[in-house]
Amino acid sequence: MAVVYILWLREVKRYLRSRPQVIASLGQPLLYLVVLGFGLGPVFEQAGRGSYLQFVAPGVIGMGILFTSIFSGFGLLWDRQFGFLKETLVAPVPRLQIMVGRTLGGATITMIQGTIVLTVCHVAL
Amino acid sequence: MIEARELVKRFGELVAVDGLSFAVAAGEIFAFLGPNGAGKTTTIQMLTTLLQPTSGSSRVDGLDPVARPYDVRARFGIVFQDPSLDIELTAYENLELHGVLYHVPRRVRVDRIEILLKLFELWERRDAPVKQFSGGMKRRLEIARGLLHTPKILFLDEPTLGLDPQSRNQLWTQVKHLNDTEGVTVFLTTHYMDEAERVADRIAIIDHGRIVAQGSPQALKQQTGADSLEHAFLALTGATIRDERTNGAADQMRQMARMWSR
Ligand SMILES: Nc1ncnc2c1ncn2[C@@H]1O[C@H](COP(=O)(O)OP(=O)(O)O)[C@@H](O)[C@H]1O
Ligand SMILES: [Mg+2]
Repeated sequence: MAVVYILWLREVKRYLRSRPQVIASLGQPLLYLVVLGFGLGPVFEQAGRGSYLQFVAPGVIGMGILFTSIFSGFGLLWDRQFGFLKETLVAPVPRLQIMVGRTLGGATITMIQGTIVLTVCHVAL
Repeated sequence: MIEARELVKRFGELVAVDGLSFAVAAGEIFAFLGPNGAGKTTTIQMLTTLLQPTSGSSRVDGLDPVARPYDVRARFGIVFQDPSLDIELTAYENLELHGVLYHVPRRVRVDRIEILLKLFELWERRDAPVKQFSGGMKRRLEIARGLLHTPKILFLDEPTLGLDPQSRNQLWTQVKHLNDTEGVTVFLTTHYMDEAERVADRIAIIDHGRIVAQGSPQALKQQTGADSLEHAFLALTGATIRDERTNGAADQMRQMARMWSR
């Protein structure tokens, strides 16, 4: 359990410390929301089908979640490149625990991202 | 403490390790000295459960790395040839993470981290992210990490590569000190003759995956009639230059390709 926790913590710490990653991954859904939302919004509304923002928001959130997940999966490749992976491979712990720790970390980050975008959507609406 | 019997490792056509046999006694400092591509890293990888030998067998603290990888992993600490720290985390966090991975109880962990960080003169910088560290500091931190779970054996794969003379000197002094005080068995590789001569109790000179000579530094010098170990080394391995695994663009590409194909 401690092993899973410390690897989870590592993922979360790394995320919280890398401002560029936070901003970059928030930028993309916000771009969709703002550009498409306010650009296409009036057109959509003139067609008489209610709020366009309300229509795109779930998709934007879903896409954000997908992207963040892929991003945290890439972390494994980074670890391989920067060598940290070896440290976990010679440790006397089952590979499964290492995988679970990382995955939970990635899931947590994704959830944080998703919640932020959701909040932004909520405020915008 | 470490024993290898006719270890062989092939990568396709290439025979990287070609029937190595040696034994390292408890508390000994044993050096593998050889040119680039001699098979030093490959041997370490087989002893440390990262690679399966093509044939032959080995024992680490009496256990077979192939049959009992988890038990073997708990018994050694390792400093890899290439960096393996998480540079986004602080020095302390890197050690903390290692301690948890090796099931070191919290109370022991806290004390041990403090002792090691102080010994390796990193205590003042414990909360700085590792990416701000110099090469020597990173290396010292890796050694401290390798010793955190009080292993019986420490593997050092070219630990002084790329360090300045001061850092190298300091590093060996500290390793010697730990060997004296904690009795940890040290298995190191290097291609600096002077280092092997200075710290090692026994040296094996390896070339093309084979041991060409082994013994104490004095014995090796006598054997070849050379006045220095450097001359002995050149006499035994020939003076030709080996193609080093460079860090150039081509190597990067190859590494990427390997990464994707696995
Ligand atoms: N994963 C691998 N695949 C193919 N060849 C390898 C691999 N690892 C090492 N080699 C080759 O095995 C030989 C021994 O390498 P290595 O053990 O790294 O040498 P050293 O550490 O003594 O410099 C070299 O020729 C190297 O190119
Ligand atoms: Mg090597």
